[in-house]
Amino acid sequence: MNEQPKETKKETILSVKGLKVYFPIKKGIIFQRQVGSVKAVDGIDFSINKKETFGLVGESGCGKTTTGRAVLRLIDATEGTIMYKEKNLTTLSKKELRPLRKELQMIFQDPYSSLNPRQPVLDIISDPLIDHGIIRKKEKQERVEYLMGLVGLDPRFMNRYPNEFSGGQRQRIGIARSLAMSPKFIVCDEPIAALDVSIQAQIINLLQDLQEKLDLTYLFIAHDLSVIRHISDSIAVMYLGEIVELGRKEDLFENPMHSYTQILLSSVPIPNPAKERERKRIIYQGEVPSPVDKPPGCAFSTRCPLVTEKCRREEPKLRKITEDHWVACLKL
Amino acid sequence: MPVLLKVKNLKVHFETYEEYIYAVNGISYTLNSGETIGIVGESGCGKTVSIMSLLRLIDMPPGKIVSGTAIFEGKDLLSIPQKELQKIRGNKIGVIFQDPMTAFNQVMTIGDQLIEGLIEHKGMSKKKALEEAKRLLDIVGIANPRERLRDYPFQFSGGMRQRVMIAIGLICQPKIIIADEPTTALDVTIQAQIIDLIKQIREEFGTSIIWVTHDLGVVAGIADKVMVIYGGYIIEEAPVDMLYNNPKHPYTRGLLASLPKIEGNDRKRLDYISGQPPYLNKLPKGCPFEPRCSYRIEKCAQENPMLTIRNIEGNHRVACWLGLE
Repeated sequence: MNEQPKETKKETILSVKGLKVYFPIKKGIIFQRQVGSVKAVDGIDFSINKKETFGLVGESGCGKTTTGRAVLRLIDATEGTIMYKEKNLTTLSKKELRPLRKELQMIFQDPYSSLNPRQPVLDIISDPLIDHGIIRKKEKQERVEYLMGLVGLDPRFMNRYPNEFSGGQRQRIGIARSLAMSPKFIVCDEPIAALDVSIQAQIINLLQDLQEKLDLTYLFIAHDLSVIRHISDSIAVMYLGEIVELGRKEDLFENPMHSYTQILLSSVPIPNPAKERERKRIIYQGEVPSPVDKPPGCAFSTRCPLVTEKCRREEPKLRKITEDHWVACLKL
Repeated sequence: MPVLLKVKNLKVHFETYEEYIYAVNGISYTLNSGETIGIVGESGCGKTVSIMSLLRLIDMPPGKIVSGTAIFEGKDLLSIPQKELQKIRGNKIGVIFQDPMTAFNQVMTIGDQLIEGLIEHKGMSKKKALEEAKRLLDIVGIANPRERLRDYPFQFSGGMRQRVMIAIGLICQPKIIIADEPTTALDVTIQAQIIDLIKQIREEFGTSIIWVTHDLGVVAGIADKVMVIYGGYIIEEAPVDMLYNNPKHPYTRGLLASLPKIEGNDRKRLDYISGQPPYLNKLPKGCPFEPRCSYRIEKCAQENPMLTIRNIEGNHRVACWLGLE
């Protein structure tokens, strides 16, 4: 999976292999025994190039948020390796992980619950810097002024509390906080989903400007395909804990190969009435099976229009179709 | 096309101890038979309040309908006695809510809720109602309807609950369906299924629909006519093609331009509207959009163009002092 494209030599900053995150389901009041597991992430491989944006897209329950958290070790992986700077994050001790945490940050989806309502913005942004001994208390103000400026917030408001800001502004505070430690890699977990449409564009532009300015790499998790298309360089489509298709943005959108990707793309409403009228939608019935009770064989077999008997028995692996375009399907 | 519903100068405000909110500030429009109107706006713009108040489904107090009429079949929905309104609600005018969980009774089976509606509104016997409930679930694409009638709302997924909500809405084959963000909480593939279902129903029964959403993509696919709401006012109204091809109001233009596109043409930076939507605790002297508008002239801050919404051409109305080309 770590083959480099021939034209430009890109550097891999993060590489995930065989990642599994299973949550046990326990039963019993006094003695708990495990009766099953939620296979939130069920064996995925991908790598992310430095200074690029890797889009992770899928519908609810596909495992994308869990993947983002596992990559930062906010939850522990059940299996698999996460290589960052030649270190396997899954095997590091808490002590060894600590210095790396500065470089790996997260921007959360909900700007309302991810900020401590009892702290002024000044402290929200500067606390991690003080905790890690990067600055001293008296340098707080200056540093926060700089960071607020970076994200387009008026530094005069640094003594205000989160509830005095709008959703879009709160998201900017969250972004400033994630930038405080001068990270290299940021997991953006649906950073604009909770914002109004007219604010979303502002935040998308901000994230792109910051990436350019500060040489950042993003793992961008979203369910909105238009946003993913706009911001990503490479994209992975997830379904029931697995990656069904992975490729460079242009390849994936121009030539989606997996049935699920095709259905996903055909379902996205386009703000153009003429196009909407002439579209041939691929509507399929049914819903996503539960990750507790995954169907045998291909995870998508219960809904795939191309399904055969083989699909119900064998699990497809991601196979390379063209340079940088991978699909997990037995029929291709 | 006969006029089915005529809303005139609707104003809805909310009064609490702490504040007074000018949620809806004089909305007027007509819904024709067989037509689908898309009402578009961001959160807090007043779109939900404007349609929920048509059936008086907002809490009053703190809400109050300050003025306006909504004439349906010769009666003003906003002032007829509750008893008469109840005969119309769920019967001639159905509602699909955004969050089907809160709209359902959690301790009754889906079957019981459907049957209750059928007995109440159509005077059916229990036996007949059971058969009809099964048929309705079938129409909305729920597999194994007989078994599912015995399930409780929490046993259904989001998409299925929405289908059941549509089934309930269909009980009386309403003339109008009011849908408040019916697919916003659903995954995109499920959303496509639900929109498809509603289109089929519309085709078969000739229902008129008022569809409220913030999603400009969904509106493009379902509406005949679109109304854009901002600050509790209609700022632009046009047949769907006209609105998307030639938006006249700076807000509409800004909104359409700021959407990342799914199909090609990747611009590096998105156009955006600076600032944020207004908090409606006061009525602006001038245009509510003026603080964010890049085309503003002096008049915009002085006089509110929303009060003199002008017809430009065809059925394209805009509330703006500028004649944007």
